[in-house]
Amino acid sequence: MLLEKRTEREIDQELVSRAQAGDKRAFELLVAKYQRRIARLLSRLIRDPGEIEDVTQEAFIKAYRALPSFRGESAFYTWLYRIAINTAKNYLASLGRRPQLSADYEDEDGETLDAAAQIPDYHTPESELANREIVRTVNEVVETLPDELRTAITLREMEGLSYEDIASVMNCPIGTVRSRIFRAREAISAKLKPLLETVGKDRRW
Amino acid sequence: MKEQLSALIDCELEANDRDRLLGQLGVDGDLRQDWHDWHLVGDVMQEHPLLSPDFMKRFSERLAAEPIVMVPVKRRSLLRRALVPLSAAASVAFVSVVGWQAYYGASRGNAVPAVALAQQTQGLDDEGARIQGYLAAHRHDSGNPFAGREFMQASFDPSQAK
Repeated sequence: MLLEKRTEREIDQELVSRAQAGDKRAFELLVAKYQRRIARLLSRLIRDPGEIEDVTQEAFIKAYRALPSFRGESAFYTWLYRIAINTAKNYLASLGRRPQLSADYEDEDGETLDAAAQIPDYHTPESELANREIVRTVNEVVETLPDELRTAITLREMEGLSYEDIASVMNCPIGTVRSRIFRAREAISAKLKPLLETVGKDRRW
Repeated sequence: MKEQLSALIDCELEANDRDRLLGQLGVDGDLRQDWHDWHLVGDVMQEHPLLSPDFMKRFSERLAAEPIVMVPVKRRSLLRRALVPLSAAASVAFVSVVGWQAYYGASRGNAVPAVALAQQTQGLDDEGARIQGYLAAHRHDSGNPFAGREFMQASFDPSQAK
């Protein structure tokens, strides 16, 4: 796991280096990777989904402008998270509001709820519909995958296991794990692409 | 190529393939779209909140309006690069001198007469005794070039040097 994290940091660092050399597409790959994690983080400070999205955009722009100051002393996502938090605090301060720092709160029955779970995944009716459809499609396709593909992609995406660990669990070679995860992703995205093409103004950025 | 991208996303690609594929991502729009879609799939499975479907498109439009960032590649200065081997050479020279002194002293069979040493140590003040104790405590450390040797107090009188 430690090795994996180090490798992820190296991959991010490589993309950052390319972005620092003038390659905007490399930075877009980082945005594509981290946009939802940043939004989840910001949902701890800001409640309104539309504002979360706007501040997420702003945080990435600020990160791009600050790239010359990134020297790789910390992982890229650690640096990015700090920028996102500061962007959110500045945004709230400009509105005369205080950050809602509590990560959890209680519902009417006294149950503690995750604040992020309370945030809708959209802020317009169109987005709401599209995102619900995306989630439904992914879940449906995963359920219909052959057992070996479903197990491999689930262990990877939901449990975060390494290929070596998945190979051990599934009692097969690492190369087979790699192939199964790839085939699972291909199968899911094959069903997802028509939907993304329809809703997606987000194609071919 | 796509299977390699899948492995890259999972941080399971060997370094050589990784660097090549990252380069390919810069020129292959289909690969970039897969990168985007497969991260989306992963985030959906991990129940991260989704943003608007056109989030990336809007971001790219904003990014396009930004001046291109160009960070100069840091290169070590010529002076610094020249100093590294010099400092290494200095270290080697120091170790050689110390080693030679240790060997030379040992080869003379601790030629300093024990009586003379005793006379010297009798004259030590408190500070000298403290140093003597320190040396005694470290005398048996492996690799200590001063092991088995006494130290000598030296003083310098500027008035006599003129």
